[in-house]
Amino acid sequence: MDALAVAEGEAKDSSWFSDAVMIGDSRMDGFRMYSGVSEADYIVRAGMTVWEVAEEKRDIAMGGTKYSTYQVLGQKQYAKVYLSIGINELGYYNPTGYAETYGKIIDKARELQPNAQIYVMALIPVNAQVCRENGQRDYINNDLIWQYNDALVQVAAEKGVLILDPTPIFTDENGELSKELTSDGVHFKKDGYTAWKDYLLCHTGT
Amino acid sequence: MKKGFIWPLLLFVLLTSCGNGLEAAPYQIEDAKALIDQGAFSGALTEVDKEVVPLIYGLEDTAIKESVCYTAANSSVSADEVAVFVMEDAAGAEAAAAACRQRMEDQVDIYQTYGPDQVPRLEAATILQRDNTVLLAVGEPEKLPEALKELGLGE
Repeated sequence: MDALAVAEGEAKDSSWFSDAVMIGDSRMDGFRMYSGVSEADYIVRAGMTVWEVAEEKRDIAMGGTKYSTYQVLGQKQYAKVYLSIGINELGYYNPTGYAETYGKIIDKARELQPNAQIYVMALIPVNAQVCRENGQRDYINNDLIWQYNDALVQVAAEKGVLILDPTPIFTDENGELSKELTSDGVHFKKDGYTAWKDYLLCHTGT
Repeated sequence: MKKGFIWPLLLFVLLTSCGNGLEAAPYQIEDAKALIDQGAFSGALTEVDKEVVPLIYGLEDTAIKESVCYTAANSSVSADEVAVFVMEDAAGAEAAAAACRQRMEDQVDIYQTYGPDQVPRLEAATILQRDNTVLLAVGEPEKLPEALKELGLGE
Protein backbone atom coordinates (compact mmCIF):
# COMPACT_ATOMS: atom_id res chain seq x y z
CA MET A 1 0.00 0.00 0.00
CA ASP A 2 2.93 2.31 0.71
CA ALA A 3 3.80 2.46 -2.99
CA LEU A 4 0.29 3.48 -3.97
CA ALA A 5 -0.55 5.91 -1.18
CA VAL A 6 -0.14 9.65 -1.57
CA ALA A 7 3.32 10.73 -0.45
CA GLU A 8 3.86 13.44 2.10
CA GLY A 9 4.17 16.89 0.61
CA GLU A 10 4.00 20.53 1.53
CA ALA A 11 1.57 21.10 4.37
CA LYS A 12 -1.56 23.08 3.59
CA ASP A 13 -3.59 25.09 6.07
CA SER A 14 -7.15 24.21 6.98
CA SER A 15 -8.59 26.44 4.26
CA TRP A 16 -7.66 23.45 2.06
CA PHE A 17 -10.90 21.87 3.23
CA SER A 18 -13.14 24.81 2.30
CA ASP A 19 -14.07 23.17 -1.01
CA ALA A 20 -14.03 19.60 0.26
CA VAL A 21 -16.69 17.13 1.25
CA MET A 22 -15.93 14.38 3.76
CA ILE A 23 -18.03 11.25 3.41
CA GLY A 24 -17.96 8.43 5.92
CA ASP A 25 -19.00 6.47 8.94
CA SER A 26 -18.64 7.13 12.66
CA ARG A 27 -14.90 7.68 12.42
CA MET A 28 -15.54 10.48 9.94
CA ASP A 29 -18.30 11.76 12.22
CA GLY A 30 -15.69 11.90 14.95
CA PHE A 31 -13.42 13.80 12.58
CA ARG A 32 -16.22 16.30 12.09
CA MET A 33 -16.71 16.72 15.86
CA TYR A 34 -13.16 16.85 17.12
CA SER A 35 -10.60 17.51 14.37
CA GLY A 36 -11.16 21.25 14.20
CA VAL A 37 -12.02 21.08 10.51
CA SER A 38 -15.19 23.14 10.25
CA GLU A 39 -14.48 24.37 6.73
CA ALA A 40 -15.50 21.15 4.97
CA ASP A 41 -18.96 19.83 4.30
CA TYR A 42 -19.75 16.45 5.81
CA ILE A 43 -21.96 13.56 4.73
CA VAL A 44 -21.63 11.23 7.67
CA ARG A 45 -23.60 8.59 9.48
CA ALA A 46 -22.56 6.21 12.23
CA GLY A 47 -22.96 2.73 10.83
CA MET A 48 -22.63 3.80 7.18
CA THR A 49 -21.73 0.96 4.80
CA VAL A 50 -20.81 0.93 1.12
CA TRP A 51 -23.89 -1.13 0.41
CA GLU A 52 -26.29 1.42 1.86
CA VAL A 53 -24.56 4.19 -0.06
CA ALA A 54 -24.60 2.26 -3.35
CA GLU A 55 -28.24 1.27 -2.84
CA GLU A 56 -29.02 4.96 -2.36
CA LYS A 57 -30.62 4.40 1.00
CA ARG A 58 -32.11 7.62 2.34
CA ASP A 59 -30.43 7.71 5.72
CA ILE A 60 -28.62 11.04 5.83
CA ALA A 61 -30.71 13.34 8.03
CA MET A 62 -30.73 17.04 7.17
CA GLY A 63 -33.30 19.44 8.57
CA GLY A 64 -35.78 16.73 9.40
CA THR A 65 -35.62 15.09 5.96
CA LYS A 66 -33.68 11.99 4.92
CA TYR A 67 -31.54 11.93 1.80
CA SER A 68 -29.27 9.41 0.16
CA THR A 69 -25.55 10.10 0.20
CA TYR A 70 -25.67 10.67 -3.55
CA GLN A 71 -28.51 13.17 -3.24
CA VAL A 72 -26.52 15.25 -0.77
CA LEU A 73 -23.33 14.91 -2.79
CA GLY A 74 -25.12 16.13 -5.89
CA GLN A 75 -26.29 19.39 -4.28
CA LYS A 76 -23.01 21.25 -4.65
CA GLN A 77 -19.74 21.01 -6.56
CA TYR A 78 -16.51 20.32 -4.70
CA ALA A 79 -12.83 20.31 -5.54
CA LYS A 80 -12.10 17.40 -3.20
CA VAL A 81 -14.12 14.36 -2.18
CA TYR A 82 -12.80 12.30 0.75
CA LEU A 83 -14.24 8.82 1.28
CA SER A 84 -13.75 6.92 4.55
CA ILE A 85 -16.02 3.86 4.81
CA GLY A 86 -15.31 0.29 5.83
CA ILE A 87 -15.33 -0.55 9.54
CA ASN A 88 -19.01 -1.50 9.57
CA GLU A 89 -18.53 -3.88 6.63
CA LEU A 90 -16.04 -6.12 8.41
CA GLY A 91 -18.80 -8.31 9.79
CA TYR A 92 -19.79 -9.38 6.29
CA TYR A 93 -16.41 -11.11 5.80
CA ASN A 94 -16.51 -10.01 2.16
CA PRO A 95 -13.53 -7.86 1.22
CA THR A 96 -14.06 -8.49 -2.48
CA GLY A 97 -17.70 -7.46 -2.41
CA TYR A 98 -16.79 -4.46 -0.29
CA ALA A 99 -14.13 -3.29 -2.73
CA GLU A 100 -16.33 -3.84 -5.79
CA THR A 101 -19.12 -1.79 -4.26
CA TYR A 102 -16.65 0.88 -3.22
CA GLY A 103 -15.63 1.02 -6.87
CA LYS A 104 -19.21 1.77 -7.85
CA ILE A 105 -19.30 4.57 -5.30
CA ILE A 106 -16.14 6.03 -6.78
CA ASP A 107 -17.72 5.90 -10.24
CA LYS A 108 -20.85 7.68 -8.99
CA ALA A 109 -18.81 10.26 -7.09
CA ARG A 110 -16.90 10.98 -10.26
CA GLU A 111 -20.15 11.39 -12.18
CA LEU A 112 -21.58 13.77 -9.58
CA GLN A 113 -18.32 15.62 -9.03
CA PRO A 114 -16.52 15.62 -12.39
CA ASN A 115 -14.01 18.27 -11.36
CA ALA A 116 -13.15 16.91 -7.95
CA GLN A 117 -10.09 15.00 -6.83
CA ILE A 118 -11.29 11.84 -5.10
CA TYR A 119 -9.39 10.52 -2.08
CA VAL A 120 -10.01 7.06 -0.67
CA MET A 121 -8.99 6.46 2.93
CA ALA A 122 -7.54 3.08 3.84
CA LEU A 123 -9.05 1.55 6.96
CA ILE A 124 -7.13 2.54 10.07
CA PRO A 125 -6.36 -0.41 12.38
CA VAL A 126 -8.02 -1.03 15.72
CA ASN A 127 -6.64 -1.92 19.14
CA ALA A 128 -7.60 -5.48 19.98
CA GLN A 129 -7.37 -5.22 23.75
CA VAL A 130 -9.33 -1.99 24.01
CA CYS A 131 -11.91 -3.44 21.61
CA ARG A 132 -12.35 -6.44 23.92
CA GLU A 133 -12.63 -4.21 26.97
CA ASN A 134 -15.40 -2.27 25.26
CA GLY A 135 -17.34 -5.26 24.00
CA GLN A 136 -16.63 -4.71 20.32
CA ARG A 137 -17.65 -7.53 17.98
CA ASP A 138 -15.01 -10.17 17.18
CA TYR A 139 -15.03 -9.32 13.50
CA ILE A 140 -13.60 -5.89 14.26
CA ASN A 141 -9.99 -7.02 14.04
CA ASN A 142 -6.86 -6.10 12.16
CA ASP A 143 -6.59 -9.33 10.17
CA LEU A 144 -9.83 -8.48 8.44
CA ILE A 145 -8.87 -4.83 8.13
CA TRP A 146 -5.73 -5.77 6.22
CA GLN A 147 -7.74 -8.01 3.89
CA TYR A 148 -10.23 -5.23 3.25
CA ASN A 149 -7.45 -2.74 2.68
CA ASP A 150 -5.72 -5.00 0.17
CA ALA A 151 -8.91 -5.30 -1.85
CA LEU A 152 -9.71 -1.60 -1.53
CA VAL A 153 -6.32 -0.42 -2.67
CA GLN A 154 -6.52 -2.54 -5.81
CA VAL A 155 -9.87 -1.10 -6.81
CA ALA A 156 -8.82 2.45 -5.94
CA ALA A 157 -5.68 2.12 -8.04
CA GLU A 158 -7.71 0.78 -10.98
CA LYS A 159 -10.08 3.72 -10.67
CA GLY A 160 -7.21 6.19 -10.60
CA VAL A 161 -8.15 7.89 -7.35
CA LEU A 162 -5.70 8.96 -4.68
CA ILE A 163 -5.19 6.59 -1.78
CA LEU A 164 -4.56 7.88 1.70
CA ASP A 165 -2.98 5.65 4.32
CA PRO A 166 -2.74 7.40 7.70
CA THR A 167 -1.91 4.10 9.44
CA PRO A 168 1.67 5.11 10.43
CA ILE A 169 0.51 8.02 12.55
CA PHE A 170 -1.99 5.88 14.44
CA THR A 171 -0.23 2.60 15.09
CA ASP A 172 2.16 1.25 17.70
CA GLU A 173 5.10 -1.09 17.18
CA ASN A 174 2.68 -4.00 16.75
CA GLY A 175 0.73 -2.35 13.97
CA GLU A 176 -2.25 -1.80 16.23
CA LEU A 177 -4.07 1.44 16.89
CA SER A 178 -2.18 3.05 19.78
CA LYS A 179 -3.99 2.73 23.08
CA GLU A 180 -3.37 6.38 23.82
CA LEU A 181 -5.27 7.45 20.71
CA THR A 182 -8.42 5.41 21.10
CA SER A 183 -11.47 5.68 23.30
CA ASP A 184 -13.03 2.28 22.59
CA GLY A 185 -10.57 0.43 20.37
CA VAL A 186 -12.15 1.73 17.17
CA HIS A 187 -12.78 5.45 17.56
CA PHE A 188 -10.16 8.00 18.38
CA LYS A 189 -9.64 10.47 21.15
CA LYS A 190 -9.43 14.11 20.19
CA ASP A 191 -5.64 13.87 19.68
CA GLY A 192 -6.22 11.13 17.12
CA TYR A 193 -8.59 13.25 15.09
CA THR A 194 -6.30 16.27 15.09
CA ALA A 195 -3.42 14.04 14.03
CA TRP A 196 -5.62 12.72 11.20
CA LYS A 197 -6.32 16.30 10.11
CA ASP A 198 -2.60 17.11 10.10
CA TYR A 199 -1.95 13.99 8.04
CA LEU A 200 -4.53 14.99 5.45
CA LEU A 201 -3.08 18.47 5.18
CA CYS A 202 0.34 16.98 4.43
CA HIS A 203 -0.93 14.38 1.97
CA THR A 204 -2.86 16.28 -0.66
CA GLY A 205 -1.23 14.91 -3.78
CA THR A 206 -0.35 18.42 -4.94
CA MET B 1 -41.17 55.13 59.79
CA LYS B 2 -40.55 53.81 63.29
CA LYS B 3 -37.43 51.65 63.67
CA GLY B 4 -39.43 48.82 65.19
CA PHE B 5 -41.39 48.54 61.95
CA ILE B 6 -38.43 47.90 59.64
CA TRP B 7 -37.47 44.34 60.52
CA PRO B 8 -40.98 42.93 60.39
CA LEU B 9 -41.42 44.68 57.04
CA LEU B 10 -38.23 43.17 55.69
CA LEU B 11 -39.25 39.75 56.94
CA PHE B 12 -42.64 40.16 55.25
CA VAL B 13 -41.03 41.06 51.92
CA LEU B 14 -38.62 38.12 52.16
CA LEU B 15 -41.34 35.59 52.98
CA THR B 16 -43.71 36.77 50.25
CA SER B 17 -41.01 36.80 47.58
CA CYS B 18 -40.08 33.19 48.38
CA GLY B 19 -43.63 32.13 47.77
CA ASN B 20 -43.96 33.89 44.41
CA GLY B 21 -42.35 31.06 42.27
CA LEU B 22 -39.42 33.09 41.00
CA GLU B 23 -38.17 31.66 37.72
CA ALA B 24 -35.00 29.56 37.73
CA ALA B 25 -31.91 31.26 36.38
CA PRO B 26 -31.12 30.75 32.70
CA TYR B 27 -28.61 28.02 31.85
CA GLN B 28 -24.98 28.90 31.53
CA ILE B 29 -22.25 27.26 29.46
CA GLU B 30 -20.52 26.12 32.64
CA ASP B 31 -23.58 24.06 33.58
CA ALA B 32 -22.66 21.44 30.97
CA LYS B 33 -19.34 20.54 32.58
CA ALA B 34 -20.84 20.73 36.05
CA LEU B 35 -23.51 18.25 35.01
CA ILE B 36 -20.95 15.87 33.48
CA ASP B 37 -18.99 15.97 36.74
CA GLN B 38 -22.06 14.66 38.58
CA GLY B 39 -21.31 11.24 37.12
CA ALA B 40 -24.55 10.44 35.32
CA PHE B 41 -22.87 9.58 32.02
CA SER B 42 -21.09 6.59 30.55
CA GLY B 43 -17.54 7.01 29.42
CA ALA B 44 -15.63 10.17 28.74
CA LEU B 45 -17.46 13.03 27.09
CA THR B 46 -15.27 15.17 24.87
CA GLU B 47 -15.96 18.78 24.00
CA VAL B 48 -16.97 19.24 20.38
CA ASP B 49 -15.20 21.99 18.44
CA LYS B 50 -17.17 25.19 18.90
CA GLU B 51 -17.41 25.96 15.19
CA VAL B 52 -19.03 22.60 14.55
CA VAL B 53 -21.76 22.83 17.20
CA PRO B 54 -24.22 24.79 15.01
CA LEU B 55 -23.67 22.29 12.19
CA ILE B 56 -24.47 19.31 14.38
CA TYR B 57 -27.81 20.75 15.41
CA GLY B 58 -28.68 22.51 12.17
CA LEU B 59 -28.70 25.96 13.76
CA GLU B 60 -27.58 29.25 12.28
CA ASP B 61 -24.45 30.28 14.13
CA THR B 62 -25.57 33.90 14.01
CA ALA B 63 -28.51 33.03 16.26
CA ILE B 64 -26.25 31.58 18.95
CA LYS B 65 -24.62 33.82 21.54
CA GLU B 66 -22.77 30.98 23.22
CA SER B 67 -22.86 27.22 23.06
CA VAL B 68 -21.04 24.16 24.25
CA CYS B 69 -21.48 20.49 23.39
CA TYR B 70 -19.90 17.35 24.78
CA THR B 71 -20.33 13.96 23.12
CA ALA B 72 -18.97 10.51 23.75
CA ALA B 73 -15.87 9.88 21.66
CA ASN B 74 -16.51 6.15 22.11
CA SER B 75 -19.65 6.49 20.05
CA SER B 76 -19.98 2.76 19.41
CA VAL B 77 -20.68 2.16 23.09
CA SER B 78 -22.22 5.46 24.20
CA ALA B 79 -24.63 8.00 22.70
CA ASP B 80 -24.29 10.30 25.70
CA GLU B 81 -24.34 14.01 25.02
CA VAL B 82 -24.62 17.29 26.90
CA ALA B 83 -25.16 20.69 25.31
CA VAL B 84 -26.06 24.18 26.46
CA PHE B 85 -27.21 26.92 24.11
CA VAL B 86 -27.45 30.60 24.97
CA MET B 87 -29.46 32.17 22.19
CA GLU B 88 -30.25 35.77 21.28
CA ASP B 89 -33.79 35.52 22.65
CA ALA B 90 -36.51 33.14 23.78
CA ALA B 91 -37.65 32.51 20.22
CA GLY B 92 -34.13 31.46 19.35
CA ALA B 93 -34.13 29.12 22.32
CA GLU B 94 -37.37 27.55 21.12
CA ALA B 95 -35.69 26.90 17.79
CA ALA B 96 -32.67 25.41 19.56
CA ALA B 97 -34.91 23.15 21.64
CA ALA B 98 -36.67 22.00 18.47
CA ALA B 99 -33.27 21.34 16.90
CA CYS B 100 -32.27 19.24 19.90
CA ARG B 101 -35.47 17.21 19.61
CA GLN B 102 -34.76 16.62 15.92
CA ARG B 103 -31.21 15.53 16.70
CA MET B 104 -32.52 13.06 19.25
CA GLU B 105 -34.93 11.64 16.65
CA ASP B 106 -32.08 11.29 14.19
CA GLN B 107 -29.85 9.66 16.82
CA VAL B 108 -32.56 7.17 17.75
CA ASP B 109 -32.87 6.26 14.07
CA ILE B 110 -29.12 5.69 13.79
CA TYR B 111 -28.72 3.78 17.03
CA GLN B 112 -31.60 1.39 16.28
CA THR B 113 -29.03 -0.59 14.30
CA TYR B 114 -25.72 0.99 15.35
CA GLY B 115 -26.13 0.57 19.10
CA PRO B 116 -29.65 -0.53 20.15
CA ASP B 117 -28.83 -0.51 23.86
CA GLN B 118 -28.41 3.26 23.65
CA VAL B 119 -31.90 3.90 22.30
CA PRO B 120 -33.64 4.02 25.73
CA ARG B 121 -31.37 6.78 26.98
CA LEU B 122 -31.79 8.75 23.74
CA GLU B 123 -35.54 8.45 24.06
CA ALA B 124 -35.26 9.66 27.66
CA ALA B 125 -33.19 12.69 26.69
CA THR B 126 -33.70 15.83 28.78
CA ILE B 127 -34.32 19.01 26.78
CA LEU B 128 -35.15 22.04 28.88
CA GLN B 129 -35.59 25.70 28.05
CA ARG B 130 -35.17 28.63 30.40
CA ASP B 131 -35.80 31.97 28.77
CA ASN B 132 -33.18 32.29 26.00
CA THR B 133 -31.22 29.19 27.01
CA VAL B 134 -31.53 25.45 26.39
CA LEU B 135 -30.00 22.41 28.08
CA LEU B 136 -29.78 19.00 26.38
CA ALA B 137 -28.62 15.93 28.28
CA VAL B 138 -28.46 12.27 27.28
CA GLY B 139 -27.16 10.09 30.07
CA GLU B 140 -28.04 7.24 32.39
CA PRO B 141 -31.82 7.50 32.85
CA GLU B 142 -31.61 6.35 36.49
CA LYS B 143 -29.05 8.97 37.49
CA LEU B 144 -29.63 11.97 35.24
CA PRO B 145 -32.80 13.40 36.89
CA GLU B 146 -31.15 13.45 40.31
CA ALA B 147 -27.98 14.98 38.88
CA LEU B 148 -30.04 17.76 37.29
CA LYS B 149 -31.92 18.34 40.51
CA GLU B 150 -28.73 18.50 42.58
CA LEU B 151 -27.45 21.34 40.44
CA GLY B 152 -30.78 23.14 40.17
CA LEU B 153 -30.85 22.49 36.44
CA GLY B 154 -34.01 20.43 36.30
CA GLU B 155 -37.59 21.38 35.62
